Amino acid sequence: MSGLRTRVATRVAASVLIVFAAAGVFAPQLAPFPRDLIRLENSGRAPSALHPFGTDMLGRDVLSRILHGGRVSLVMATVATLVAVAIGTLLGSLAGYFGGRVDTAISALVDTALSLPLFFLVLLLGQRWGASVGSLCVVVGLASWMPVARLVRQTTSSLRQRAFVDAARGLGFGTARVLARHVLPSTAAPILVASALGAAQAVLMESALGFLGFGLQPPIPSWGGMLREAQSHLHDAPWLAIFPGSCIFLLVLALHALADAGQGAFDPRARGERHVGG
Amino acid sequence: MLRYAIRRLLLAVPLTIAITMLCFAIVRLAPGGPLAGADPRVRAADRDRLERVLGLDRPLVTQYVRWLAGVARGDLGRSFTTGQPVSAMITERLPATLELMGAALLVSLVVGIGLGIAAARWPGSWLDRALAVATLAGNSVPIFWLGVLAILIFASAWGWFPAGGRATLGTEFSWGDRWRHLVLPVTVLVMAQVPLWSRHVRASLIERLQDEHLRAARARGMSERRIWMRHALPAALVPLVTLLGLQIPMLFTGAVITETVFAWPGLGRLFHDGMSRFDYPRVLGILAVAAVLTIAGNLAADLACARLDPRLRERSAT
Repeated sequence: MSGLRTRVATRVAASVLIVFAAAGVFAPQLAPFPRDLIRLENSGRAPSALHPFGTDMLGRDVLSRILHGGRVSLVMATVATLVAVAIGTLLGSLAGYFGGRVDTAISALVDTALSLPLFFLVLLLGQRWGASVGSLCVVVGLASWMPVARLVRQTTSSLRQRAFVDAARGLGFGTARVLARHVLPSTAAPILVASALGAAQAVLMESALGFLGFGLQPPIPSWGGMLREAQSHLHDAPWLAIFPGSCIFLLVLALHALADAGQGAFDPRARGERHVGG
Repeated sequence: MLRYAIRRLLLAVPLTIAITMLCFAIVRLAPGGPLAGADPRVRAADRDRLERVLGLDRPLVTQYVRWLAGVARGDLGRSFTTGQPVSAMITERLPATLELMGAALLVSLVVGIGLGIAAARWPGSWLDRALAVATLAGNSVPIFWLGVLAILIFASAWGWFPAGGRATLGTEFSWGDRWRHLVLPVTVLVMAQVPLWSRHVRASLIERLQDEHLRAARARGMSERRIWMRHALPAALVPLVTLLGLQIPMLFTGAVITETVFAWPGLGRLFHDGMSRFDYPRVLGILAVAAVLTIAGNLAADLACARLDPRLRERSAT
């Protein structure tokens, strides 16, 4: 019963993600109007058949800007997640595989990073180097690798004692080969879950940066930036705030739901227990 | 215990210095600066004079050491934009932030722990399932959008609460007025934080309830009430102390965003405003205060945990 419900929820989440991805990829073809077409005589129009999401204060079509903004958000989230997963997997697998002093040092680094007011640093970095999509991705990725490192460390350290890893070592393979060919493939599932969570985090962080005015600069549309512009017209043009915010919420919700489903399917904790037993 | 505390304290000092160094580097090595946005007609000589007055012409290391020496004396420097001492600006704004964050933390702790206990008491019930959905939604909603929606509905459309600020301008101080201004921002922060607490309390309680010694206690006929009140709950709540310490940076993050949405005159907005104007002393001062408070909070949480759980103390002492 609950299994069925979970399956339906997972399908819905996956569909939402696919729709968002497709909308992002084909934004230029799907958008009914050019991204930055300013028509002042059309400013602040409520949603209608011609402009399904209304127009903003400069008369630009909100739906078109949301489609283009989603493209930016998706690229950002993907690249930032790749950065976070790369750093987290490298440090986490080293800590988990070697244990001892390496583990102590890396774990201390993770704990320290988690206990910092990192968002302030992200804001600073975003303001100074955040004018381009590439640098913004790196900044967000640098701020969110810690959970991945923890998860990979936990999985790797339980794998380290398994017979097949011993066997690989016994055959005389070097550390790099044992890690890359034997240990890391078994951590793929938890890394995938961590990536979904990381991507959700990246979307939230990027939109928060945009909202505070330290993300991509106008006229490049981003969902956070659109919410920022909407703030001064809440009373007379609420649709400017409702649509971009709903998009952020839906995308993050879908990513979280998929991560939850993944966690249920290959729960690292349950796996760990089986390893100890077998 | 004392040795553990001293060791942790000694580690916190270099950590704090390292963080301020990192902040200084990020703030200062970046392109732009307080004079970059100045009128291009300003003469080069005047520009140089300004740099000299602000101390920006010296090597970065010298500037950092001078700043750190000032901090050691309790002097955070003067703001580039207002000329006021930064420490005075911070002490003026800190109470507003503490009021907002304290109220939000307190409410979310009470509500979160309550809901977590209820969900663990009746797992699989409608309440438990509703909480799971709410957790998913609460984790996914951008807090600034939640704030904007709250303003849209409760302030703009229905007019129940003021849309922003800490008090109505130009009126006498009154508790009722202050309270009305707190409701919306606190509610938004609480909605974002409650899922975290309730989920942890639930998971931790359910895990504790399966402990061998509690099964044995049940077999010996100990009442369910005594098992909960004397054994499961206290053991399940200890990990919350660590989580509380880790929440402090989140509170500052929340402060910047929530204060911007609700025009709350706190530290977060002071920081936001300082960043837009390249006000180095102000930005660095607030970062330093946030870092020290965060590290102190984590330290306090770790020490409290060690006090409550002797196993932790033993492990870290070796």
